[in-house]
Amino acid sequence: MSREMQTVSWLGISIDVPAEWELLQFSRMAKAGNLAWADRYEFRLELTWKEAASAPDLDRIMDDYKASLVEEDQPAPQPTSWGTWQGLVDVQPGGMSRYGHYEESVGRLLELVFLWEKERDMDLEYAVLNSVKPVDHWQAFGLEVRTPQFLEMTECTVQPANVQWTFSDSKKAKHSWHFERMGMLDAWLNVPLAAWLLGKEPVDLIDRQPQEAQIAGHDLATVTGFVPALKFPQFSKRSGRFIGAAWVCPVDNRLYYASMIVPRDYEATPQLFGGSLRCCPACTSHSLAAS
Amino acid sequence: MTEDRKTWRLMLAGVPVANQAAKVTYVDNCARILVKRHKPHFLIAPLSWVIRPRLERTVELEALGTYVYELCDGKRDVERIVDRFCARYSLTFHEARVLVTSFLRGLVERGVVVIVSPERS
Repeated sequence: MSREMQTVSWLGISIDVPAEWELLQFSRMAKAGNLAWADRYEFRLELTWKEAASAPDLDRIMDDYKASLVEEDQPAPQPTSWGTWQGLVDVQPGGMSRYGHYEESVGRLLELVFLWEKERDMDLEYAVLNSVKPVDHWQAFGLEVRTPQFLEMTECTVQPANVQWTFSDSKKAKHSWHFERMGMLDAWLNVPLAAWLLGKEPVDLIDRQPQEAQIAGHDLATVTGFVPALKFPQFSKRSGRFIGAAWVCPVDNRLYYASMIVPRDYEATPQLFGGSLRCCPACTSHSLAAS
Repeated sequence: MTEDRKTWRLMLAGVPVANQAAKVTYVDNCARILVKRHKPHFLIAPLSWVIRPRLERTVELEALGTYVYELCDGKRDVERIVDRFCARYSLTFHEARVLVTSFLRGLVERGVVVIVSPERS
């Protein structure tokens, strides 16, 4: 199949979808939620999930769904399967294909629904179904982020030309990792990168150490320092380490920003550029070469 | 989502047409558009002797807005304008769609453009 695909990795599940389909709906809840992609005219694919302690009886779920359609005098879909996926496919053009699968590694029941404009594209269906696998990182909206597994996504803001993700260990409040991707730089970025980064620093940053470098064709500005700890900041002896980095990727001309506040003695601090946050193949290969 | 198959097709097929009666001037390459307004129908004497509404409205656009406004030539549909916008600013189609359509909605509310629906043209 020659169709160009893109990978989306979300809440431990990775899936390949056509490159021209954009992710327009998302939820952050691991217990139950959905992702939905649209081409330029309408929604084309929805992935929904629900936590389940053990594999549910998919045959019965499919039968119940089929029976509900028959009750509503709608044409009964045809049963189908692909690998571990079981499905029901509408017989009429412009219908939908539904597939269910229990992903044991994450303990979730997954459902994929394809909405076809005219004819069903079976090659595409199978390519998408084959691509679903467990992963340990996040990749969507142009961001590719790696964080320790004990962090969870606590904020996700998606606006045109502005995506922001925050990860934290919300109960312990020792870590806060933040990532941004911004576009339309010609319209608003009118200061040098280091000066822009200054505006993103915590106001109470001490022992501030800024640096500028060029790595793998990217102009990079970084800053490190110390800030009051996220929890009990009034106790001045407790402090967290702040690391921030910003760069403009020459491939998509977007500004990437990553920052983290971690405990002072946290040893597993990764590099931000190409490590925790990746923007393009050059960035990734630099990171892989460094490791 | 599957129950309600939302589509943007009709909205993208609309053709924005600039208000021909508006006067456009440029300051630093940014458009300043003077739009005439109708006198409210209830404003008749003697009420109109007291209340004197402004019969013109000035809409000032910044560079991005001016770019979109200039694309509203009555020939391009919204989809073509979105395509031009995402090519110029390296955005995805839906990023540009959200920006362009919300901006066009504002222009319509201010009487600067009208959207001609393909079903009515």
